[in-house]
Amino acid sequence: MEIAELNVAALRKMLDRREISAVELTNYYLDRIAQLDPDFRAFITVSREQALRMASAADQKLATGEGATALTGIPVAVKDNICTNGIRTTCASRLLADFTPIFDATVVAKLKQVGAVLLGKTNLDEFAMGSSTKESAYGLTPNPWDRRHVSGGSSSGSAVAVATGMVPLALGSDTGGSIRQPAAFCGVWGLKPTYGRVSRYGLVPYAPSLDQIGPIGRSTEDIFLLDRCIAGYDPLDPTSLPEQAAAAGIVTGSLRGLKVGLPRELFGDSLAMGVKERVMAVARELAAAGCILTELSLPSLQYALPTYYLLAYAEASSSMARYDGVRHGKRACSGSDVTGMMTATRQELGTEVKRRILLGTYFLGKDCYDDYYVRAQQVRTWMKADFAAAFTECDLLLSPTTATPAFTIDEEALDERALALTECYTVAANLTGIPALTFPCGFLNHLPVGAQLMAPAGAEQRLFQVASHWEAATKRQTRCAQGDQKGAFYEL
Amino acid sequence: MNYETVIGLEVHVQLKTKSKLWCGCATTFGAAPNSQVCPVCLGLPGSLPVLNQKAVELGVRTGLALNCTIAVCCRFDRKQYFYPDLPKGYQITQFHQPLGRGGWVEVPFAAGQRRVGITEIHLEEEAGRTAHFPPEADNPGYSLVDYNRSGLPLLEIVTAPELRSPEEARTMLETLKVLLEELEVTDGKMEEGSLRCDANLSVHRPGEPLGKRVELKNLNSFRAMEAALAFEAGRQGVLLTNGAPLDREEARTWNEAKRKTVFMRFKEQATDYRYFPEPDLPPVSIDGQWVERLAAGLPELPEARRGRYLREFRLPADDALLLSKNKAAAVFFEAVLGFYNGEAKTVSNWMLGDVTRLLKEEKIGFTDLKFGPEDLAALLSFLDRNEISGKIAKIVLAEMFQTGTPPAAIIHARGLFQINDPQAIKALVLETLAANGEAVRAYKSGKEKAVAFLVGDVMRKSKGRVNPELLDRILKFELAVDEIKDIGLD
Amino acid sequence: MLSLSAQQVKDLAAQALLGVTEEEIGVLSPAINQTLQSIEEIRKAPVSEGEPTVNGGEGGERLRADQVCLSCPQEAVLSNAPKQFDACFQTPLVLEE
Repeated sequence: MEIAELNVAALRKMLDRREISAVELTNYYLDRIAQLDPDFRAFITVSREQALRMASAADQKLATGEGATALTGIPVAVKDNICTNGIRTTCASRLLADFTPIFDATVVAKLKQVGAVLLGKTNLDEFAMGSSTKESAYGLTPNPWDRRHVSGGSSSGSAVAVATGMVPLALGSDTGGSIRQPAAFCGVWGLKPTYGRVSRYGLVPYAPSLDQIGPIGRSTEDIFLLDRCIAGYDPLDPTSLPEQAAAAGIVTGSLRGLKVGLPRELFGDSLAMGVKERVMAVARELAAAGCILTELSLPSLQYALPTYYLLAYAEASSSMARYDGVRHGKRACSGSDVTGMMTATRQELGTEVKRRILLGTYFLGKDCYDDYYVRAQQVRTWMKADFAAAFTECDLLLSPTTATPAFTIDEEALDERALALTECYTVAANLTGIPALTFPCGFLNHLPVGAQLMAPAGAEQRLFQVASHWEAATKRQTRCAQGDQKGAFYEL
Repeated sequence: MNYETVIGLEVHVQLKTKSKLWCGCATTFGAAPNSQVCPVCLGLPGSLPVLNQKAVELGVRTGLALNCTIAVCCRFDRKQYFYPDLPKGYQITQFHQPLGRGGWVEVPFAAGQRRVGITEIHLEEEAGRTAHFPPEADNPGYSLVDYNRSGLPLLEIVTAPELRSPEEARTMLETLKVLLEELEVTDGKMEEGSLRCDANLSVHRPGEPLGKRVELKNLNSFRAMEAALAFEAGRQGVLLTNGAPLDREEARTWNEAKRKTVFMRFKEQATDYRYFPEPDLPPVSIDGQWVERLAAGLPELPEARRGRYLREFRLPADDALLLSKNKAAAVFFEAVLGFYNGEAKTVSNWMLGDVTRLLKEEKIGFTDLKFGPEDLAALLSFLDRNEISGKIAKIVLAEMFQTGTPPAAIIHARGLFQINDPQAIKALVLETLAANGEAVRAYKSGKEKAVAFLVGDVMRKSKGRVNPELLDRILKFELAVDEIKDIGLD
Repeated sequence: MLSLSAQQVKDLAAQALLGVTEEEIGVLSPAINQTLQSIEEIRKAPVSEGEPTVNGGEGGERLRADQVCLSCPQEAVLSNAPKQFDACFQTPLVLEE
């Protein structure tokens, strides 16, 4: 089997048995990027030199055995809105084309500490605002299963890099579904962790009360390993949760008696028939494994989208205020006074980012604040209570990750409503702060379909356990996608 | 025409912490530009604020001293506007749930003591510093930004609009400054900007509703503040008198060079700051027991101290006020009393009299004194025991002040002990009488004033050391004896 | 029902110091009004009495001890400056109010 098809555990074995060195492994992936990425633009920056230096340091670590862990020598890609000291971090914006952070995000520092190898920075919608990388200043990253289709967003560079085997693992960020939607569209695994589980220090903010960094990989175990590495209390993030004992591995064993809830609101009419069938197949498999399926209702979900728009755009308008051309970024030359300079500099932002800033500015103004913005915050409270109540009836929730498989590139431009329907499956986890995991559960018209599991805050283990059970029971894994072959599962 | 002035203050206090409000950068004043800066106070994308516990503590201490209700849970909000010294495009402050509300402070105004309300106190971050370089012949002008100051912790104190004159506003600010310094929450250096003040002022005819208010900015010294308020009260008073009072709220700034307030903008034009709760910072719950401990640990504040001086030491009102409002003086005063068995009033007299005069001459304060409280106590004890005279005491004090030498050493070295031995005094008196037959005769012929000459002679010979009361009695006695001799009774 | 005219969108852009071209206004105005339409539903949500949720998680506040840490080297601080002078960030002149 090609190295690109191997999961982290297999790569680990090869490294530990010295069948391959970290430098060789890194070179393998760098070559693969050079070969495949011109078609995908999954990477904005490939940090070749640094990667080889890190790989050689990892080899030394492996030789001495000191401080070696599951990820030592394993290449990882990082979404380009996560700060990397000395490696430019563009957020896929023209404004930050030359911005080189002077510090590492905590997640990056943690990866470096265990000796993981940072291959480069991946494409996204500008400032993570979008669902297709249509909004990237560096070009659109197409779907690895069919280049006429989008790969989702905003962490599509990370999802595509993983799906095509250009890297075994990648970090994304998820504010309303930005890890899960592209992971589902690309047929890979993605986790949006509990809010506060992974430090946000160094994540360029979009909507700070919703943003979370999480892993994307090619199996449940792979994302488990990356999640375990990046999770943990960080004194630099005031919203960071207290340290929890790291799990040694994914809990295995019987799922008997586990109650799986199917929220009625997430199996409605807007759902593509084929998607529903494939998610229901997951439900049947879980039932066969002894899970108890419960249909339930989460009435607050009806308001999830307007709530998300109000809160996310309001916060975004504030997050984006710092790009004024004074301390960093590409300054516009026009403008004779400072206000003129700032206005001209910010003109370089893309239309979608501008749309969200304008809406957010309006939401926080006196016309909207009390009747709309505060109301959205109240709905958020209700939604948390609604989910808490649901979790007294069941242990986790199963739903589709998106209503349809990846749409075509034109379709996406045309139909914003369809896009909105996609987001409505994922935003609830951000609004309520709970963890959500997506895994591929089949193909529809040669494009992957994702299933989403949600659990109460802090119950990531339950998600890993169920997802890995399904993976093992169906003995399925996706092949590396290369852009135009017919996607299908193959039996291991 | 008769009109009344109403003033409220917004006082910005730089809290005395070692590190900034959200990050570990040092707070030292005067460092090289942009040398006390990190990703957090530079507002770099991805950086996050982590609240300094000490800033909360200092804020709570201040709130307690200002009799505020301390919030059980306070929050931070973002105040949004653009300015190059504001690195995130918003200032983190407290708008919806401030640290404290509804306090008051007793202020000793010239017209008498009165309580002034404190509307609220809240924590916020300081912005950087911008310097402007106006256009010249060959360049269009530019501005420079230094972020060393960015993120320093500030406490804003908002007073109720209860001050009635520029003088009262000044007294209020002075009272606050003393109180904040005593609490050790700030350096209170107006010249370094660690204490700054904006003011709101309006005028109205007695019995009529308040006029439109003007916000005055850039009041960077007590003098500037009083002058700006006086100018503004006069300006608005004239407008009111002319029947054309202000009809819009406005912001003005004090121009020190022109000695006048200058229009900045109308308030309704002011930006909508679009405050909203800071999502990066969880709410801060303030533990009631912690607050109680802080309250118990508060130092005695000038007002309480003044009351105690009146009660405990029976000081006159003026003495109590003067000693209590200056912490160094109060500390010294009470330390002297620890060594001294005499009247508190005596200590107060000397401290507010001769010691204060010497300090003023040298432009220094009580903490700069070369001698300690035990030395002043010793000096006053010598005086009380009649071992030196008041006149000598002043001489000794002057030397203590110059050199720090203890009074006993000065008195010994210079032989300044008072001569209290009647025999010794008698000997001196007889000597004088013998040598000054002229004066003696003048006295006997009824010229009472001649006594002063004879006293002066004895004092000259003794270098002023003779106990004046004893001298008076012995001299008069000896003169009488002399007279008896003259008429030959024995 | 909320809706914004092209002029109001321009005013918002001015408030956000966001340079926008006429062409962009043509795209943005309808897109903004579409979103405004979709958030109208929030007014029907049965939540009048509820407490607002501000933060993403349940974590309580974590305060920092008042300890000085090393600041960044001056050249690192200034490394991304579009323009600098005398170790300061230089900007076009701020027109005082």
